[in-house]
Amino acid sequence: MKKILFLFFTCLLLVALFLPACAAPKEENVIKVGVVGPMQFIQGEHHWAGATMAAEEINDAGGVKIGDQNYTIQLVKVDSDEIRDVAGAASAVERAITVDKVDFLIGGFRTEAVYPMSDVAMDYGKIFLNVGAATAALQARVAEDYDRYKYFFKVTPYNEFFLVTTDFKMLAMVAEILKQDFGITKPRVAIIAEKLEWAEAMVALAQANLPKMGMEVVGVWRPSDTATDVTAELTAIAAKEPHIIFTTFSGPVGITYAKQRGELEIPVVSVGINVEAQKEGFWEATGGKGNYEFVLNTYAKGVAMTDKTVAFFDEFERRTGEFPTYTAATYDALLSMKANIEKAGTLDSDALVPVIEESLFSGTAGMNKYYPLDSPACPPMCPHDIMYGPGYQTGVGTQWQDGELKGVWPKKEYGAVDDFGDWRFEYPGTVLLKIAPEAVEKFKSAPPEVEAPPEAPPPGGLSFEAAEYTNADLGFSMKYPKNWKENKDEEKDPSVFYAADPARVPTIRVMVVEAATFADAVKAGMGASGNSDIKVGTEKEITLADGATKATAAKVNLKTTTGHNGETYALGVKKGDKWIVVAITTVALLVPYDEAEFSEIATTLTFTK
Amino acid sequence: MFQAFVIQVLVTGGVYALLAVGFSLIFGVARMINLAHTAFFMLAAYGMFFCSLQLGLDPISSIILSIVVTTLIAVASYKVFIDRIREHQVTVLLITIALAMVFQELMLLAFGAHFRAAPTLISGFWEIFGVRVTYQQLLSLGIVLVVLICVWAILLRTKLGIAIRATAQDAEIANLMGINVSRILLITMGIAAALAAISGVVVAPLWVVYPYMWLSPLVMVMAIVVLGGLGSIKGSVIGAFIIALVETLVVFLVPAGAFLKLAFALLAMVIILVVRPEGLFGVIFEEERL
Repeated sequence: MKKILFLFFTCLLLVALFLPACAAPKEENVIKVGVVGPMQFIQGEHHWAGATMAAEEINDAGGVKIGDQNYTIQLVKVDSDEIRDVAGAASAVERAITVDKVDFLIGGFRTEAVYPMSDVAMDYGKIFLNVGAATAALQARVAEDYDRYKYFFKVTPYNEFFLVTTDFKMLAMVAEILKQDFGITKPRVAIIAEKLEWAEAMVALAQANLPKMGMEVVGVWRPSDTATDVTAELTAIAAKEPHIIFTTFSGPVGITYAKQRGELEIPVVSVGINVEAQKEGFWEATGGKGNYEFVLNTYAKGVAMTDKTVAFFDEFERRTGEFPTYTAATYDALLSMKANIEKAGTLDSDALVPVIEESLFSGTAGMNKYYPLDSPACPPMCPHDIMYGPGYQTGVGTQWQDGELKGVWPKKEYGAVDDFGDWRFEYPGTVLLKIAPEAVEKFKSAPPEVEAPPEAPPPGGLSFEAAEYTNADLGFSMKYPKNWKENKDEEKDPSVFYAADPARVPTIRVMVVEAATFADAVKAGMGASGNSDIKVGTEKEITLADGATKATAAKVNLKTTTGHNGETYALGVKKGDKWIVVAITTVALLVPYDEAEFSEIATTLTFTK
Repeated sequence: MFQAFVIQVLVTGGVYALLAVGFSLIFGVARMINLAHTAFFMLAAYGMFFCSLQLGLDPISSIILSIVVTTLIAVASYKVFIDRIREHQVTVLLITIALAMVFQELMLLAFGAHFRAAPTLISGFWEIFGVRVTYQQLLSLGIVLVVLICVWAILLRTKLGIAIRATAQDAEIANLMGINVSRILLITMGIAAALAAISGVVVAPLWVVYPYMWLSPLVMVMAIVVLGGLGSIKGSVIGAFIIALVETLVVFLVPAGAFLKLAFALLAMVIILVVRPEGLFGVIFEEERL
């Protein structure tokens, strides 16, 4: 036994000693690119296929020109297997850097794996172009620790904040079509979302925003992301007779849902996120039952977001027999790197970073530009994250129409202007959204809508069901929406109370501040809780709901602790040398500022002393 | 709403029962917890997909071929890997789970991690009391009934059934009475695998076919079988409907907690086991099981 152990450890030692010598020698005039992804899965396959197309294109055209030398691109397949084994993903990247000697890396998919993989790349000072993980927090690291994370850029997809913004734009288009074509003025919406962390915020935001968008939420269903049967959920949804099902799926449940919804011919418009429905195999996987599924996507057949899109899409489909999904944007990543390396004239990461930061590249899904280091708000606009909006990356809404995945959004007549630009446009190749015949029949045969009698106001004459905060020491109380959750961690001097909507915003903060003026009190109070760039608007005198107490109110613009552009309705009453300030804050990107609603809450402030 | 609830319980319960019966049968006879049972279900589902969509065979030929090949694979696996160690229950557990993972990886290699669908045998739905039920679900319910009648008939009306029941009661005595126990166990394994394969070809068109599709049903089937009483076919069928009832209740009463339906089903199992540790129709002593 001892001999066996001795032999075993000797072999291990020899392997450890000789392994570094086995590392691939650096070849002359070759740029090695590590393509990182779960290669047994479609995400990794598309990483590889996109990069292969780009590498062939570059090499056929003579390679990458650095100075007077031409370099050939050589791809290294880095199987991170990150869908099944997050822990092993970082080792795969380390091996690619130390053994295969890659010059830079492109790819990544799961956020949990991209964290450690990019950390390894940063340790070695290697550029890592993220082509797959959406999470804004990944890019926020660039803002927090630029020296370490300056080599980390995101090529695709845009982050979850923009994802949800786009999702609501598509939903709004459906609501408008229902209104125009069928006279449905207040569509009923069933929300169905897989039970995963990323979907939590989506559901909360949908619940908060849909009523504001003139829709009624009839219920929320949360199946597992791997559920093999959702007929019970669909039967329960059908019983509520919604007009729209708003989906949030990334897992295989998206196929189960679409297949069973189609099989049961539930008369609705299905719109939202369903990652599986972006793939060519979706039609086959649902046996054609996924017809009319309308989902957010990166590419659509025949839709030209730039002059490169259609040629890329068709060539990708010809080679792989599949539609490119967003991880195929390794194609853009590699081609943009070629341009950047040629401009920098070197492969040195530190020299390349400023060139990439300044780059503007016409990719296959829009113009690629990265948010600068001095971005106004991170998140969502984090440094080195891909820029969102018309003229940059918008995404495309696609719908399955009789076996073909068509682009149906953006659509000129349903667009509007917002903080990101003018959405009143459409890409060449976009077609009209189709509604399933069973839904058309149902909507047409429905009796005309009768104006619902106004809902009885909740007790107390408020438009919301209220909870109450009482401060016995200072002798005041105030009401706020009952579903807002108190967070004691935020209640640090001068804040005495803090609560937030489940959708994270709006929030209410009650502060007791010693200050000479209302503006000073607001700035001191909000500043002490981590907000910055606080600008107090025009002040006005108002009367509280008790009909007697006078108060000062103003709209405040600020940058929240999370870096968002926040809008606050602030109200203050001076008691002695102190101001009692109530501040209700929202981030318009998530929940729009509503002065009527916010002032109603704030003016419930009542004094007993 | 109530009609929708009742119909949903019947349909879901039928599908679950089909999966659970084979698992229960092999435990009842061989005292073997076959963790590869739902992997055979997965193999049959892939067989159905491969034969019908990739080879272009007609649905009936695809079904027959899938069931036969899956059963042969199961029987061969039993003969090669399990037969010689079947007395060691822990080893059997380890070997069957390893087998299941080997089958999973083979499917991953052969077909990738893409989600597939087996074709629906009969497309469309039937509206019962205003509730839509797909023909495929009704078909699976019908097949459950036929399969259960067949299994009962084999066990109670044939010599083979008598031999299986004798082996289930006491393998040693059955051996002394001239029954070839090894052969009976092999046949039982074949029947159980065939039942899993039938589940695969019938249920696969309702679900999504992918290499990991055997994991979730395995937990559910184990819960059903333990709830009904290990080895009791009657218990498995009733257990399947109880689990379906609990799951459907969760979806209808707590829609936002629909993902908890399996957890609630397991909780129901735990509660029943606390009250009746042998399960609903299980036996503590070696008495008649079927």
